[in-house]
Order: sequence, then C-alpha cells, then structure tokens
Amino acid sequence: MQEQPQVLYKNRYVPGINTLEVYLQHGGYESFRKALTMTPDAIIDEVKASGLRGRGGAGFPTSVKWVAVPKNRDQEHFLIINADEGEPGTAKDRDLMNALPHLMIEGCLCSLMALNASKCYIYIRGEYIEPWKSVQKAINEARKAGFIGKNVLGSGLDFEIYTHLGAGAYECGEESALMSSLMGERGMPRMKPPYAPLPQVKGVWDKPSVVNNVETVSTLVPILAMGGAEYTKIGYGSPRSRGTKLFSISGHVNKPGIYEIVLGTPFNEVLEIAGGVKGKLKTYIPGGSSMGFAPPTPMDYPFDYEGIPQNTKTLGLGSGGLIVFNDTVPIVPLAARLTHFYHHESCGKCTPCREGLNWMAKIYDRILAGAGRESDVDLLWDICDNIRGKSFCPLGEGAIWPVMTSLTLFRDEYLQYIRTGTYTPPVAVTTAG
Amino acid sequence: MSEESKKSAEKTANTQAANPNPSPASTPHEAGSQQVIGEGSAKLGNAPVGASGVPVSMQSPTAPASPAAPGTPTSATGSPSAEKAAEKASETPRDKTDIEKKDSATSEAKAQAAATSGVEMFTVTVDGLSVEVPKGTAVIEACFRAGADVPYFCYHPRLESVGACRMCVAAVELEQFGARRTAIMTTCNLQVQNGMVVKTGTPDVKKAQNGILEFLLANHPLDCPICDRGGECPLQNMTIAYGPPTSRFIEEKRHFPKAVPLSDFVILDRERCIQCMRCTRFTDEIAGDGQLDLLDRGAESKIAVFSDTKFTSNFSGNTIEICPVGALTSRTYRFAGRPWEIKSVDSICAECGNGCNIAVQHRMGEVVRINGRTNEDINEEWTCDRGKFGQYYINSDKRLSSPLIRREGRFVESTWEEAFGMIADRLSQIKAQYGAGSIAGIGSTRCTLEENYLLGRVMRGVIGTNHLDHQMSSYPLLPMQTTIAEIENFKTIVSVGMELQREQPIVYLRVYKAKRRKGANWIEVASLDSGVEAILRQVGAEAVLLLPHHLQASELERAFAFCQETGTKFNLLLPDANSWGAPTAGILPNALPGMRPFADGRADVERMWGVKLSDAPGKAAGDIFASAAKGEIKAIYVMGNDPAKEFADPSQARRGLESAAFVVVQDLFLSDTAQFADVVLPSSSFAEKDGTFVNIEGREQKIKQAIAPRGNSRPDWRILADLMARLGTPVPYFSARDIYREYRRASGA
Repeated sequence: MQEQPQVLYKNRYVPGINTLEVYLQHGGYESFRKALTMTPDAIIDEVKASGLRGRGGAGFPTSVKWVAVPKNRDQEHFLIINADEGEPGTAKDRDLMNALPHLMIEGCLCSLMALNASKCYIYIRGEYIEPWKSVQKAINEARKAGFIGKNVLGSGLDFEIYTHLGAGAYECGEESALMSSLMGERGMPRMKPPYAPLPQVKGVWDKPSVVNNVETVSTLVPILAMGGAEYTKIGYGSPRSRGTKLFSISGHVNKPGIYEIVLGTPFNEVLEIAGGVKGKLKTYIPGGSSMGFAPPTPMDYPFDYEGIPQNTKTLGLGSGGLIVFNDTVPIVPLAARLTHFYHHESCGKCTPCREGLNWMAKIYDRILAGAGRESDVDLLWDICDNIRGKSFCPLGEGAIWPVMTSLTLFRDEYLQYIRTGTYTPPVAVTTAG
Repeated sequence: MSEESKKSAEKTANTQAANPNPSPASTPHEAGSQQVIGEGSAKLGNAPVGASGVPVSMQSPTAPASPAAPGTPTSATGSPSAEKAAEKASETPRDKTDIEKKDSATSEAKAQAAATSGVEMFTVTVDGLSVEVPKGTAVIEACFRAGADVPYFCYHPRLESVGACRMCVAAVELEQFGARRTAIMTTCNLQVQNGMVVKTGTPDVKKAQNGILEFLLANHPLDCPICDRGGECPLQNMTIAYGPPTSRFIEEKRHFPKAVPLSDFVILDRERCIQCMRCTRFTDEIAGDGQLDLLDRGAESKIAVFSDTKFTSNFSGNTIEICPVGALTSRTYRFAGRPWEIKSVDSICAECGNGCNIAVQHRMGEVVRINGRTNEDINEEWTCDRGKFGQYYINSDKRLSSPLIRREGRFVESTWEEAFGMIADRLSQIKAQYGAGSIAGIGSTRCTLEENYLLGRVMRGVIGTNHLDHQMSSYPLLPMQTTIAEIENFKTIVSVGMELQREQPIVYLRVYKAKRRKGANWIEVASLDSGVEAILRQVGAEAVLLLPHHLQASELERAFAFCQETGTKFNLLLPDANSWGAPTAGILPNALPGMRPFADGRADVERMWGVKLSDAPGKAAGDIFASAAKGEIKAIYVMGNDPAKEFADPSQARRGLESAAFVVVQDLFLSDTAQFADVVLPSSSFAEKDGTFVNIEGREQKIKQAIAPRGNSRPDWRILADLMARLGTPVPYFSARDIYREYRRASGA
C-alpha cells in the first residue's frame, strides 16, 4: 500500500478549521504572506515547477493558462473561481468550501498575486447554499483581518473577492457559459479558439479572465508553502501527473467519501482506501459521469491523468468523481438516468445536444417501458456519433460518452434488456454489510 | 488600396492570365469576385486527427474514415482542381430559397466592400478552388465565393454568428497553437486563415449534416402543407438535399401551443421553431430593443417576449423574413397565398422619406405582402413595420372607385368624362372671369416626382398661375449633408426632438449600428436648447446632427448656422416618401422644376412648354388659403394632399377650402379635404403606378406598378394628363417615364 501524504486535507478534521482563528493557528495565510513578497513570475515559476494541472476536469496545466494573461494592473483583468460543481459523482469542491473555506480564499489570494489581478469572482453553484454561506462567512472574516480589501497587509495592493450564486445550471460549469452567466446573460457557452480568442485575452466584459477550479487554487497554498520542486516529488505514476487530488468516491464501496489521494496510486489501492468494493465490480466511472464507463479490468494501473485514458478507454480523470457499480446494477436504466440528466441540463443552444439528447432520452424511456427494439442499440450509437464532435461545447460530448462506453462494454446486456425487459445479474450476489 | 492588396490583385490577374483554361465552375460568379483558378494547395494531408480531436479508438466501426488521411493525393497542379471543378459543375445544384440567395448576395457585397477598403487578402482553397477573401471573412463566406454549397440555418451575414445550428460544417485544415490540423468545424463562426484548406462535401461532413437535419426534423411538425413558409422555406429545401429519406424518430414529438400571437403583426409557432436565434439576435443586434429572447432551457427552450409584454418593436416584421422556418409568420399574410402563386415587383416604400427598397408581392390583383429588398446604401435589407404592415390600405374597400361630383350638397358617382368636363368648364370659366391668378394648386409629398411635375405644368403652363405649394408646414429645404449610410461612420450622433425609431426608422437602424458596432455615442435630446450647441462645439466635425422637419424654421436655421461653425454635418430629415420630389418637381410658389429660380429656368421651361409663364409672384399654401377665405382665390386643385387635416393650422385651410368656389381633390380616400370638394377624383396607390420617389438624401428611386389600378381609379399623372388634354393642350406622355424625361430637361439636367 502506497503512502498517502495529506496536503490539502492536512487539517481537514481539525475542529473549527473553517474559522479564521483556528485556520491561523495552523499556519493559515502564511502562503499568502509569502506570495506577497514574490513577483507574479516567481509564483508562476513555482506553479510550473510543481506541474499543477487544473483539477476541474480538463487537466490543463495551470501555469500555461496563467502565462497568457496580461499582468498589468492598469489593465483590469479577473480571476474567476469555478465553484459550479455539477458533475455527477463529484462533491470535492463542496467539501473544500464547507470545511476549508479559508484554504480556498488563501488560494484565491495567491492566484491573484500570480496574475497581478485585484478582483476575484467565485461562481458558486446555486444549489450550494451551505458552501456559499461558509465561503461568504470566511470572506467576511478575512476582510476583517485585513487579508481582503484595500492595501492588504500594508502591501499597497488591493484585493477583492466576490461570490456569485448560479441559478442551477450544469452548463454554467463550462467556463465560457459560466462567464456569460456571471455577466447576467443566459448561461450559454461562448465561442472559444479557434473561433474566438481565449478567455485570457477576452473574457468577462471582454476583459482578460482566468477561470480556475476551487481545488486548483486551493492546491496553490501547499505548493507555495513547500515549494514547487518539493510538490512535484509527490506522485506515483506519470511525470505529468504530480501531487495529490481529491476524489469523491461513491457507489458500491464500503466507505464512500472524499479522499485526498496521491496521483498515480494504483486503482485497486484507491478502491481499498474507500473500503473496497461491495460485491463484484461490474464497472465504474473514473472521473464524473461525462468520462464514461470503464471495464472492471485492469485494476492495477496508475490512477492519474494519463493512466486512466490509457487503461480504460474512458475520457480520463475528469473531476475525480469515482462512481463504483457492482454487478447488481443494470446498465440500461443507469445509462438512461444519466442521459436524462444531460438532456435536462442541455442549454439548448446547439442542435445536436438539444435535439439528440432529447431523442436519446425518449428512446431510453421507450426501452424501459418495454417497447425497445433491437435496432435501438445501433440507433443510439448513431445518434451519439452524430452528436460527437458536432456540439458547441463539451456538454454534448460528455453526455454521449457514458452511452457510447456502455454500448461498447455491455452491448449484449442492452440486447438482453430489450428482449426480456429486465436485467439478471450473472451470479447471485450477497451484498456485504 | 494598400500596397499589399495591390500586389495581391496583380498576382491574381497574372494567375488568371497564366491559366488559359479557366474552369467552368468560375462562370456562375459575379464579375469582380477575385478568383484564382487552378492554384491547388500542396499543404494537405498531415495528421490523421478525427473530427474535433476525438480519439480514433472511439470511432464507430461503421463510421467512415477520417477525411484527410495521410498520403491522400492532393491537387498540386492545375489539372486535378480543374477536374474537380468540372465534376462540381456537373452536379445539379441544390434549389436555394430566396432567403439563402439574399444571404449569399449580402455576404458577397460585404466581401467586395472589404476588398476595396484595403483589408489584407487571404487565399483560401475551397474544394480545390482558390479564392481570395478579405481577412476577417467567415469561412462560410469564402465557401460562397468559391461557389460551394454550404447549408446553414443560424448564419446570417448581418448578424453576429452563434454557431448554434451546426449545419454549416466543413472539413477545415487550419493552424492553431502553431500546429496544422484538420477537423470538422462550423464555418459560420470561424474566420479564414491565409492558406486555409476547406472541403465541403466529404463523407464525414455529409454524415454530420445529415445528422443535424435529422435532429432538426425530429421534433419539427412537418406541417408544410398548411405553413406559410412552405415553398420558400430553407428547412424544407434543405430536407430535400440532406438527411435520411425517412425518419428514424418514432417517438411522440414535442408539443407547444401553436399560433401564439406575439403582437398585432407577428404570430409564433413554437413547434416549427428550430432555435436558430436569428430573430432574437435581430432584435438585440439590429433593432436594439431585444424584445425577443429564449425562454426555458434545452429541448424546452422557446422564443418568447418577456412576460406581460408584446412584440411592439417597429422592426418586428423583419424577424418573419429572416426566420428559416415557418415559426414566425405575419398576421396580415397568414394563409393569404403560397409563394409560387405570388408575383413580386421591385418598388420603393411610400410610407416615409427613407426610401426603403421593397418588393410588393401580389396575388390575383391584391397586394398580399411587402418584403424588404437589399440596398446597402439605404435599408440594407430591413424594413420597418409601417412599411411592411402599414400599406394594406391599398386593398381597402373604402378606396374611392369612381369620380364623385357634388350635386345639391351630396356626392354623386359619375364617369371620368363627366368629371373632366365639369373641371375643364369651371376652371376655364373662373380663369376667364377672375384671371388665372384666382386658381391655386396644392401638390403632395406622397405623389411621385412625375405627378408633381405634371401638376406644375398644368397649373403654370396650361392655366397660368404661380400659386403652387406642397408644404403643409413651413420648413427650410436644406439638403442632407451625408447619406444615410455615412451616418454609421460618425463618432457622435445627436438627434433632436424626435422618436427616431418611428419617425425615421431606417436612419435609426444606422444610428444603432454605429452605436453597437462602431462604438458611436448617440445622444437624443428633446430640443436644441438641451445643450446641443455645447456638445457640438466639443466634437465638431466628428458629429452629425439629425433634425426633424417639424421644428420651428427659425430653430432649424439656427442649428444650421452653428453646424457650419463647428463643422458638424447637418441632416434635416424630411417626413414623406417624396418630400424632396415635390419641391424639385417645381411645386413651390417661386421655383421651377429642379428648384430653379424663374430667372434661371424660365427660358428653358417656356420653350419646352410653348407658353409664356405668368410674372405674378406665387403664393405659398398659407397665403393660398388666406386669399381663398378673402375670396381672391376662387378655385383650389388639390392632388394627393389633405390640408383640411394636415395643414399646420387646419382651420385656416378649412376656411379657405370652404370659401373657394371650386375645389378639386385627387385622392385614394374620401379625405377631410375631399369633404370640401366639388369634384373628387379617385387616384391610384403607389403599387398601381410607375414613377419616381426622391428620398431624404435626394436619391431618386423608381416605383413600379405591381397591380392594376383598383376600381375605376387612375394614377395621378394619368388624371392630370387627361385633364390637360381636356383643357386643350396636346399631351406628349404615354407613361410616367415620358414625364420623367421631360422633367429632366425642364430642370436643366
């Protein structure tokens, strides 16, 4: 069993860590004080050395994202925190905001230093009332203590952090839709390269903007504390997947929960950390439902940005929402449920996502109602194929992935379900615990 | 033209000269579209990247191979592309709707305008043909230039692209982050790169387009037989060219309430809507009122007005025209005809002075619809609702259908013969008894240039009076100092004392365009006293001042004076379709055709008309009515005007008309003025005659007859010509065109 150093969660279970007082007792805001003494380039160099990649889902190197932003304070630019955590199976940002709001705010302040920006917007999912209250309370405390506001800690620099509650749209977790929503427009995605400039060039209110995930900016705090070179030593797999990551592990495991796990830890050890699988592993979703279903073998590959797509044919690590299913789970209703989710959340801007998912949801409903046809399997595949690569934003792409992977892995089960209207587990299973 | 573009133009010319065998595919293009034939690209065939970077491992076993497989032979010399072009030419082109033809013409005009403005030119290869397009052009527009058929729904050349419908995909080889890659990409929102290679008809592209069309039809009601759009519907035509022949969609379609009235003019059918957002973008970007938007989300999203409001925009009708399906239909045109039964005549709107180019569409002798027509200098392609929905009076049952003669205080229908006889007798008698100076004529800013000219000739040349006027309120005739199109180039636009959207709708669209697209500052003020002078002193020549005719004449002259001081352009915006045509035709007390003073034009006019003009000074409208009230003027001849209602002081006009011994009125309806008439002559609407309107800029534009004159009515010019003959002067006109020629000579042109 590999050692699991806790970097983000070091103080997660310290009572009262969500208050400024306790947070300061445990070395809180030391990274920010350090950042205040550094130049933006020096901070970005540390981040580059750490190999930090975006923890929201796409895994884009954070330092590369930051380099594109103009660092001139005269030219207004923004840091936007994507706290619109909506990916099915993912709850890590909720936990960070509830339990460690000051860690995130310190991360925001460090990022603002790195970007030489003064304004940060935290876009929080509308359903996350409790996390929002927690973050807002922490912001108020930090402001009182002089970490936010004018002339912070005598540095002569101003920092402002605002929270914004979304109205409950999964689509607004997509960065360009998030920016539209933040500006008060419909939460619909906007054009990106090669169609339009990057948000770092033209973002909210046409000003340079960087959108980072809650976990990404929070990770900045330990990185600055220990140094990028030290951080990059953490990790068991690929040289491009360094450090730790929060995984929301749910489904048929004995101890579901949120765990900080070193990237590259073998997948079977990840399952062990969560108490092992209940029953026989049928399939799992490695990083939030948009990544698709993975086959039960192999089990001993490094669970990180590179290891997952190479070994499972899914899209990858994603947001770290690992959902485990044992063989009591029928795949058709499961894929149907996920399709309904995406159909409900499609913003309606582009034809394939709006109409294709609507159609797929209707086909699944028909199959579940016992009126399925064997040709529906190929039809579902072809609809997915007509959506793939044609939708405006990744929502459509993410929606078809669980369906396509389920069709690839469980084609026979689909056919059986359509013929018999039911799913029979391969062997009788006694559910442990 | 910049040095660079000159060079590139030369290069193009050379390449064309060097190619003795231009491909037949070049023929359908407009002259002037710069095309390089036979210059195939040798840069194709790099990475085997699937559509939008999808890992190849996930490609369906049945999916066709990636379009740009490595090692694909490419057209490095002239011959393969010529072959390709020949192959293309042999394909039967898809039947395109008028909407699509209009769009591609607009995009071509845009490219031409950009090309002459010295923008850098890029070479793009589309299906083996190289075309030169200005930097910033959308790929779809480059495809149009190359003659490639790219289907689309949401793209519109005058709206910002959204990339919503996903129909316009093509296989595009482009450079991104320093690497070249080929991917299936939407072309409406992608800008061209120099050396970009586009393929429109690859199997992958076809598959994508077939898929999109199937998606769009899945929930579309397919009620084409009862849909107004049927026959001119892009979705209908596209269905013939793309998508599977039968639907694989067997579920229940989405249902919404049908035929939801959004306003008095526009009806929305949400089931037919394909959510292309053309209408919402129009209201947002062009009309600037943003009255339409999407409601709800995903598959449930629908076009709507905001709660408890109506689609009151003065430009709502345009959304009907740009709708690529039958979702937005016109309440006036609804079920009134099918596109193939309709004849369309190019004409000019008669409602205001902007002079929008319109198409008058008629069926079985009735005008059923008025659509916008493209004129980049005036209305681009838009119309206002007044122009679109306000002209159905043409079909009104209240129109006069035969001449009326007052007998014992009541109007009695008569023949033209009888009416002309009476007019000729009474006018001759009054002239003999009281002199020609006892007769006056009132022209109209709503009749054509020719008709006003002819009224002038009858009054001055046949009867011999100079009492002629057209203005119902007195305003100085100061020409606009810019064109309508030039307004969009000013940094500051000040409009005074008018609701621009309603009074000068098309000028408003330019102003809004300047504000929205070019960041101009539009300042609306109630009166000239609201600090206008101070503003103009700051901005000077970078500003344009827009004024309505209904300000005090002294105010207008004051504004004119300080505009001359500050260098600000002064634009007096006149109200009616022919506000400039009436004075230039010579319907002024002291000016001849071409607004020439007597001293200047007298000799010409006397020679042409073969008469001696009267020396007595003419009276303006106010004086005419005052003199009539005093009994000095005995007869008033009113053509197409309604002073009893519209004169600045209607009671003064009424007193004059009441006192006059003999009043003749030519009009479409029994107007207030006609109530005072002894003879009322039924005239024809603008749709029933030919002629010329001169718009606020002084631009002459031709109206054309679409339908036969209603009932027994006659065009005003025909009435005057008949009267002229009756009064004993030979009539040299067979058409409005003949009158126009004479007008040109009389005005010294």
